[in-house]
Amino acid sequence: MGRKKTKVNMTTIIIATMLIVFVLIVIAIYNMVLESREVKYEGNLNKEIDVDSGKDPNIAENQENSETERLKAMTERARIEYYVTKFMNYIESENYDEAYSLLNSDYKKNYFSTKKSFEDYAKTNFSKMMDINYTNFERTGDVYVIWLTVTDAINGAPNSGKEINFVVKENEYNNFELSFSAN
Amino acid sequence: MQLPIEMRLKIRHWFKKYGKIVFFVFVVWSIIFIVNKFLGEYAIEPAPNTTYTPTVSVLDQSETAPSKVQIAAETMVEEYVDACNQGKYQKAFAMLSEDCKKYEFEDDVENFARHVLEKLPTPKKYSIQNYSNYDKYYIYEVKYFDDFLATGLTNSEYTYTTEKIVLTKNSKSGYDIAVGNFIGYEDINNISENEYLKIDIKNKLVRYSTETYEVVFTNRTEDIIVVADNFQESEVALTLSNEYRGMENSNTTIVLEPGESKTFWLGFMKFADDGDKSQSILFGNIRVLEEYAGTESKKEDKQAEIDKAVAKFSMNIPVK
Repeated sequence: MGRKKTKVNMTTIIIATMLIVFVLIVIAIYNMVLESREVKYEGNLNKEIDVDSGKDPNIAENQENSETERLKAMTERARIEYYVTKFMNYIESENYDEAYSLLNSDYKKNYFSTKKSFEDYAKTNFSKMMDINYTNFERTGDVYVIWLTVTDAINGAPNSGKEINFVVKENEYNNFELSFSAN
Repeated sequence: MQLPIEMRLKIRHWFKKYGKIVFFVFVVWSIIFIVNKFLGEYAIEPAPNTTYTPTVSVLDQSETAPSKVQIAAETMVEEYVDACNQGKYQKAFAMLSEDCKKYEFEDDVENFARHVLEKLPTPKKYSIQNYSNYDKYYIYEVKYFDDFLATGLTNSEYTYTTEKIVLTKNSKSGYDIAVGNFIGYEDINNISENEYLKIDIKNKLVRYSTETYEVVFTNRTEDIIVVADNFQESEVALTLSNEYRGMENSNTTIVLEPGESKTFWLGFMKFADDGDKSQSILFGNIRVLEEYAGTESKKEDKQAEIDKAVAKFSMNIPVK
């Protein structure tokens, strides 16, 4: 009778173990599938933003994820400068829609009620290739003020830079709104 | 490949015996898995790392205002600034502590309105930062500024005004606020006297960076008493634990005619949150003179008067 009980217990253990192993294998396979969809960023940080064509949503999502991960690794000041540079890059590449979408809504009402007026301003006041030099940085509450000098990188003479203020509010990583001194 | 019959029977028997338990465990595990997945989809993104930490004390980074106090501070300051922005001075004034209304603004709403217009001449945004906490006082630095984001600083400068707003617990288990760097008022009523002079320190007004004492001097003699005329060392000094500190206005003159009683407000630079307590006021060179030519007289004449003084003494009066 005792031997039979031992045999039954062993069977129970073996089957239970097989079940647990089966479940663990399923979980492991699931995680492997998930990980293979993530893009791990490697390499040096730089200010260049790759704007994808928007045709493959996976590419767009992966690039956004990698950009967010980069931002998480940055200091506060570096992030704010990154956002301003991103905005300026949109203007350089004449991507006025994206640039306009980053402007604070009250600021738009005050200075650029239409996308066209913003585009006209940008075309007049910013060059196709700009050299940006950040000169000062302040925070008041949750709003950042950043001073910079913008020079025409191709045709600009030495010391011909224009001083501009940017005001940035960061809502989350890579989710921000800004305004600038439209003199 | 088929399993041996014996094995198949054992497996079947096993599931018959433990099937319900397995099913129950599987269901529970599935629920946990699904809920975890669901919560994972709606996981809160970590907030960006920032130097803006309104609950962390500026003076002591290891200190954080209690959450109850922080919530009260944010709520009350929001209400206060809203009222000021809308010109509802009576409403904003009513939020102040009784001492602040009385001693900072003389219970006069117009005085208060003038103060508000100095800090907020136009409707302003604001930010709040816990500055320091000591005893029953929670001191916040409030910055007032224009809506920079709405203007981008177009044709304007980056400027702001600030003031210390202090929260203290009141008798109704709530909080009062004090503005304009006002901290509190304290009765002292300590007297020191002799046959010549009586000095009565009545009270002190504490502001963030100064302490001001109301002091009544009574000359009991037929002679002139000079307490301070900026001629000698340590005429009037606030005694702290490790130093003596002179008056904020070093040109203060305290001279009493025979039989005269006069009130002076003596101010000293002292930060309320420096961790030091004022011990006493030292009047280190009081002289009773038969003749006194005044503060503008020559040095030699002054010295001659002191040499012929009826009496010279000092008084050290506690202020705590």
